[in-house]
Amino acid sequence: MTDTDEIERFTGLYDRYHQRVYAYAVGRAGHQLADEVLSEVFLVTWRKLSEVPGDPLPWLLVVARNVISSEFRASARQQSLAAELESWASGAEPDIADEVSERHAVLRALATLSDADREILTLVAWHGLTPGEAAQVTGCSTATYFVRLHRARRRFEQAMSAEPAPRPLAANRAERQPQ
Amino acid sequence: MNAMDMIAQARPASLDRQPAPERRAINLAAAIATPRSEQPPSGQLRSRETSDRLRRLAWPSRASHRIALGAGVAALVGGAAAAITLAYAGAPVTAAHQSQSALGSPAALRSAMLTAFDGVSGDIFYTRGAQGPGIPVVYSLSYPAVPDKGQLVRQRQYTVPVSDGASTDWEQIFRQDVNPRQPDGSVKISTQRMEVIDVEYGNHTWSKTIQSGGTFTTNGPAALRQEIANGKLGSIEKTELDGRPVFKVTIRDKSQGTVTTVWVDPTTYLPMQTESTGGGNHLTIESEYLPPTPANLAKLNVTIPAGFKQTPTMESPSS
Repeated sequence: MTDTDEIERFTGLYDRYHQRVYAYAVGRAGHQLADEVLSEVFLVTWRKLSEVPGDPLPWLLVVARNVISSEFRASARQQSLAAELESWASGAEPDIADEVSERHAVLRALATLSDADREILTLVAWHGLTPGEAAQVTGCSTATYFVRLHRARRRFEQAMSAEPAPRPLAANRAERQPQ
Repeated sequence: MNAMDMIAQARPASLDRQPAPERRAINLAAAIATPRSEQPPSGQLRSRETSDRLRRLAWPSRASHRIALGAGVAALVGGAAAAITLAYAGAPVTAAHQSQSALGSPAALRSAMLTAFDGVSGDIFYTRGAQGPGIPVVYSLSYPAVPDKGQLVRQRQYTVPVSDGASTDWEQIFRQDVNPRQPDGSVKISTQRMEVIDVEYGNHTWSKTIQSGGTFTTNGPAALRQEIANGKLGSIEKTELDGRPVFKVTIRDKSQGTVTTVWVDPTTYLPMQTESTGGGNHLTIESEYLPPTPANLAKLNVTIPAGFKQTPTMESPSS
């Protein structure tokens, strides 16, 4: 492969997958660090271009995962992630519609989970990976992934049950009537 | 609804937010600029190294194309008229998809470069360059790179002295009043009247004046384009520039007595660096084409430092 072939392949990988890597980085490290993570991931991708498999997404997310855990101080990552989770929890107006309230509750519940549980749950639900690919990203067998997924789901459901039930839309509106 | 469906439906919109558009160019350039054989240092060192590289790439342009243009440098460093150094340049996206296998000959490279040259005339053209050691470094921005007739043109030039002297920073705005593209490949800039904001760091003054215009024929990248179109390319060499793989090609213009070496980005087919020699001059200018985003357009605005005194006319320290 010539240099230019490699550049073309690399550029193609970037154009096709950068948004998904970025989304993963936002979910794992927050917006404040996502740009840096994205840069680092594709720097590694360039250096190891010959190792990138035909289905590159799990490989790219593994790199992102490693970059997040090794390249940033834990405190910086936690701070950035906390800001991100806070924005999820406060981002939706709870009284717009019932379904928005439920979405809000789901995000709040997710925010209370550990990083590991949240990653297990969202790799498939948000990032579109198959269980096998999600297992690859988290560095375990598919069977182990299913066990972890089951446990994470249980903890998520517990967190949801601890959430206050959304108030009826009409009641919220009534509260906002001028006295 | 089961838990996984609920989570899927709650996917925050923030995950779909796009990185800033200029990140693409920065990220690609930063990666490709890294030698393949280099082993990544571990931990914070790699992060810092990358951050430094990104910072270098991010200022002042945050752009994808670093172009050094040899031709036309005299114009660039020579004053107001000189600062109007414009270029034809091409849509990188189109050019980037040209077949690599087609680049085995100068003719194929010429074709790819001309395609690339003809597409970014609506971008901001940014250059930085100097004629040699001890000569002030001149930074300039011009938008659009090749203005159409009737179009409003904004230009800024910032000069940094190497040793003695003081910086100057000026901005001018005018309306292009002729068709800029000349039959010989040069670009003609003409206006009757221009507004000029000038900041003189040597005497802490600034002025905003209306000045008469004139006609300027630029020869920078437009001349380079003409040279390429006229088939004066030498053999193509695959080499590296700052660790990046590039095509290097030499252009000899016997009529002008100049030799211009161009380093071409193999993904965009735009020149990355050009050095020009001839007539006792040796000239290197680096330039970039910046998309006209609000952030990039803001770079055309002169900044007037606090405490500088406004004067009715331009008052340079030497006057």
